[in-house]
Amino acid sequence: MGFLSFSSLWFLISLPLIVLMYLFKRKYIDTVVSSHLLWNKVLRDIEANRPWQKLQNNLLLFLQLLVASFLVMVLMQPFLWVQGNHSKSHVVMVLDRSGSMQTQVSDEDGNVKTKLELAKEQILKQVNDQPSSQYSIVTIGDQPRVVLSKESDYKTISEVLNDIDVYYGQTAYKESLSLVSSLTRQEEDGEIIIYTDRQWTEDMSDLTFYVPVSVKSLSESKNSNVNIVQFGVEQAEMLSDELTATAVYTLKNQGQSEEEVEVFIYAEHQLQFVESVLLQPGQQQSFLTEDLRIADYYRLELNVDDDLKVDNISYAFSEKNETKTALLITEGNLFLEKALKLGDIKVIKVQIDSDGLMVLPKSDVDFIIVDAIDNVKLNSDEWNDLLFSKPVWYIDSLEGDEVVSLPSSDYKIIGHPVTEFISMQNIHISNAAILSDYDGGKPIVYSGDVPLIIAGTKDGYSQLIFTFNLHQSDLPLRVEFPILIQNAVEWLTNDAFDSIGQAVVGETLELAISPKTSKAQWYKQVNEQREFVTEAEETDQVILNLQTIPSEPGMYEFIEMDDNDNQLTRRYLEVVMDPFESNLDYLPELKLQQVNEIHELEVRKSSNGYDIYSIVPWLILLILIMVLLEWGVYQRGSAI
Amino acid sequence: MDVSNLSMDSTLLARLEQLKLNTRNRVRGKMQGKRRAEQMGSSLDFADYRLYSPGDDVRQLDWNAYGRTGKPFIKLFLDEQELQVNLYIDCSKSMDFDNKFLYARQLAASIGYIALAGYDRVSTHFFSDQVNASLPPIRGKGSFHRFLQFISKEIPRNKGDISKAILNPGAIPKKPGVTWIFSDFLYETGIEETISYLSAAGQQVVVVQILSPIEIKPNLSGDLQLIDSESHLGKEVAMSAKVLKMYEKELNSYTESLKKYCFDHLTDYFLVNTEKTISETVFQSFRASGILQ
Repeated sequence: MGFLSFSSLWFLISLPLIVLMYLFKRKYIDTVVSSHLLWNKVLRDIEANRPWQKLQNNLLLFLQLLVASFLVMVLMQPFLWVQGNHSKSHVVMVLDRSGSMQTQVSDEDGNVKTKLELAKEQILKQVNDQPSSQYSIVTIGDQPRVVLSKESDYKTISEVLNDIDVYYGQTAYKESLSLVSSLTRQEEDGEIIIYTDRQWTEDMSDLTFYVPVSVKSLSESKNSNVNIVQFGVEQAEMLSDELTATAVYTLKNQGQSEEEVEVFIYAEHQLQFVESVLLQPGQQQSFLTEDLRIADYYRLELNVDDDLKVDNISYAFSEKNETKTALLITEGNLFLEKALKLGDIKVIKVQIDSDGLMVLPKSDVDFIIVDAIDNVKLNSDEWNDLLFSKPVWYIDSLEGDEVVSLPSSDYKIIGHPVTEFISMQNIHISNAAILSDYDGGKPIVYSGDVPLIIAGTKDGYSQLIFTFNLHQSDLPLRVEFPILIQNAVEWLTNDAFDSIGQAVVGETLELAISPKTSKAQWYKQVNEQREFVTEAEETDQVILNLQTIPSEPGMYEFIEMDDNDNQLTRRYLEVVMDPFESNLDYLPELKLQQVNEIHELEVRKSSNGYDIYSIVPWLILLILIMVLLEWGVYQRGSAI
Repeated sequence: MDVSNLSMDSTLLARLEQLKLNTRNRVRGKMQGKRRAEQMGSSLDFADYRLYSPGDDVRQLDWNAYGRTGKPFIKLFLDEQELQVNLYIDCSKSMDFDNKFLYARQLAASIGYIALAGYDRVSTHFFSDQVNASLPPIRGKGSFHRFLQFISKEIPRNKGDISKAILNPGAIPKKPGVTWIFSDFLYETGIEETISYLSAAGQQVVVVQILSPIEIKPNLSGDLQLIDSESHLGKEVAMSAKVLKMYEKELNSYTESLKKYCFDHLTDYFLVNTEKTISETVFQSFRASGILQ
C-alpha cells in the first residue's frame, strides 16, 4: 500500500485532541455511598494512572478515534498496487543490448536462451497482451538508438527486434536513459519499461522521468562465468639459442560456484598446450606456460560450462625481443650515440656523400633520429617516403618561428610515457625554438611557456620533437638522459609492430597506413579460416588513419594492398568485449527518479505492470459503518 | 406494646422470650438477678461446704452435718445476680443508607427484649461522633415499651467516630457486662481501640457489623461521582467490572481483618446482611454461635 499525500499524516494530531476532549469532559452522576472508606482503598490504585484509566472503557471514544484515524487515512489517499489491466497509450521499451545480455539463461520452459532473446520475447509478449498501445523501442548500445517509433503492429515490431544484436563495446546507459526521459517528457499517458540485466556502470540517480518507469530485470538467478583477464606471450631465448615463447595468462571465476576449466593454448592453429585448472568462486589466478612455438599470434581458449561464452577466447601476440635499429642522421652527437648504445639499440649513421647529400640506408630501420639537421636537406622524395613511413625523432631540426633563450629552469612536465621517471631537475637549456605548428603533437615538457618536448603521431607513426639542441644543454650529462632516451625509443617503436594489439568493440583505432596503400580490408579468423569482413573505411579512395574496429569480438587481420593487389602489410588485431561485461554478478540497484505529480489526483502511477487502486471509497464506507455503530453505542450508554 | 415502627411482631417477641443471653463468664451484678454470679450468694443452688468461721451467718449452718460430724459447716449457695447489657447503636449518617439503621435498631430491640425478659439490666446508647442519646439501665419486661420508644424515635445524624463516642469517660460502661455494638464499622480508625477499651472495662463485646446488599455487592455502572454520606465529599469513578471486583476484594479484606481482630480479642463478631430477616439473623447467626441460648 502506498500514499499519494503522505503529508496529511499531520491530521493525526486530531486524535490526541479527541482524547483531550474526553479527558476534560465532566459528566459524573452523583451517587451517594455510605462511606468512602472502601472506595478510597479501591481508588488509590486507580487514581495513580487516572486519566487513562478513565478512558479505558470508553467504547465511544475508541470508535471516534477509529473514525478520526480513518479520516486521516482518507486524506492521505491510500492506494494499493493491483495487477494492471490498464495499458498506457504509448509504451517506450528500452532494450539493453550490452555484451552481458549474451549470457545464457533458461526460460520458464527450461530452454536455454540468451538474456537478449529472453528480453525480446518479453517485449513481444507485452505487445501481444496489450495490442492497443503504441510501442517505441530504444536500444542501449554504443549510443542510444530509436529503432522503432510509435508502432503497434506486432509483425513490424517482431521484425525490428530480430535485427537487434548484442553490442560488445562500452555501453552508453546514461545517455540512452537521458534520451528516453526527454522523449517522454511531454507524454500524457506514457510509460517506460526497461529490459536489462541491470549490470550498469553508471549512476542514474540524477535522471528524472516524467512518466512511470519500470525495470524488467533479467538477472534473477546467479550466473556462472569464467573469463580471461589477461593473456600475453613473450619470446625468450633459451640456452640452445632456439627461440621459444612463454605465455602468461590470468583467469578469474566471476561466478558463485567452483569451476573446472580446461585451458587450450594454440600457436596460430596448432594446439600447443592443454591444462585443467580448478577455480574457486571469485578466485583470480595467473598461470605460466613455457616452451611454446614461435608464432605470429596465440589463442587461449577456455572450455568451461559457464553462461557467458564470448569471453572464453583470448588472443596474444608475441612481443619480439629484438634489438631495435635506429637511423641516426647527425653531424655528430657522442652523448646520444652512447645513450642509444646503452639502451642496446643498433645505430646506423647516415652516410654523407661528397655533395653533402645524405645517402639512404640500405638496411631496414625501426625509427629515425634527425639530430640538428636542417629539414631542408632531407627534402628529397626518397627521404620523404622514408620519413613518412617510420617513427621520427627530430632533435632541433624543424624550422621554428624564433629562437628564445631560456633563463629559468622552471620546468613543467606532463605525464607521458616519454617523461616517465624524468624530473628535469637542475638541468639548464640555453635556448629553444618556438614552432609554429606542432604537427598534431602535444607538448609534454615546458620551460615556462616554451614547449621543449612535443610528442604526437603523424600519418599513424609516432613523432617526437625536441625543440632544443642537446649540445646547448647539460641534459646529456645528467643521470636522467639515458632514461629519457630509453623512454623515447620505446615509445617511438611501440606501434611499429606487425600487430595492432587489443581493442574493445566500439573504439576507433589510429593505424599507420602506408602511402602506397590503395585498398585495405578486415579479415576475421574463424575456425582456422580467414573470412572477409569488410573494407576499411576510406574517403575519396584514401584509407583513413582512424578506423572503427569490427563489432564482434575475435581475431582480425588488417591487410593493406597496393594498386596491384599485392599485400603490403598484414596486421593482427584482437577485438574484445568490454571487460566490465564479464562481471555478471555486479548488479547495482537501479535508482530511477520519477516526478510525482501530487496536485493531479488522477495521476495513476504504475510499477511492474501494476496499477494504482484507490481504497478511499472503502475507507469512507468503513467510516460510515463506524458512525452507525457509534450511534448504536450512544443509544446504549457510553461505557462498556 | 407499640412496636409498629420497628415492626417487631408479637410472634417474634414470643420466640425471643425463650432465648437467653449467654455469657462467657459468671457475672458480677449489683442486684439479684437470674445469672450465676461469681461470688457465693443466696440462690437455692447448693455449691459447697466450708467450716464455720466467726462472723458467718449462723442461719447458713448445716445442722444435719453438725449432728453427724460435730463440726459446724456452713452451706454455701451460688448467688444469682443480674447481667449488665449495654447496647450501642451507631446513628451516624452512614447508617442511614438503605435500611441499615432500621435493621440495627430492630436487632438491638430483639437483643434488648431478650435481655429484659431475662431480668438483665439494659442500657442503650446511640452514638455518632459522640453519644447522642442514652437510656439509663432498665430492667424487666415491663420496661420494654419504654425501651422501644427510646430507640424508635432516634434518627441518624452527624459523622461517625466510634472511639471518640464510646471511649468518652461518661459513655464507657462502669460495670462489667455484655456490650453489643450495632454498626457498619465503616470507620477509618478507632474500632480496635474501642474494642480493647471495652474488653478492659470488663465487657464481653459483641460486634455486629451491619451492611446492606448495596454495600456488599454494589450494582453501579458508568461515570459516577461517589458522594460520601457523612463528609459529602465527591469522588469520580468510572465504574467497570474491574473496579467493582477490586471493591469486593477490598470489602472482603476489611471485614476479614475486623473478624480476625475480634477473634484474637475474644470478641464475638457477626457480619449481618440486611437482606436477611431479623429472625433469621437472631435465631440462626446469633444462636448458632452460642451467644444466645
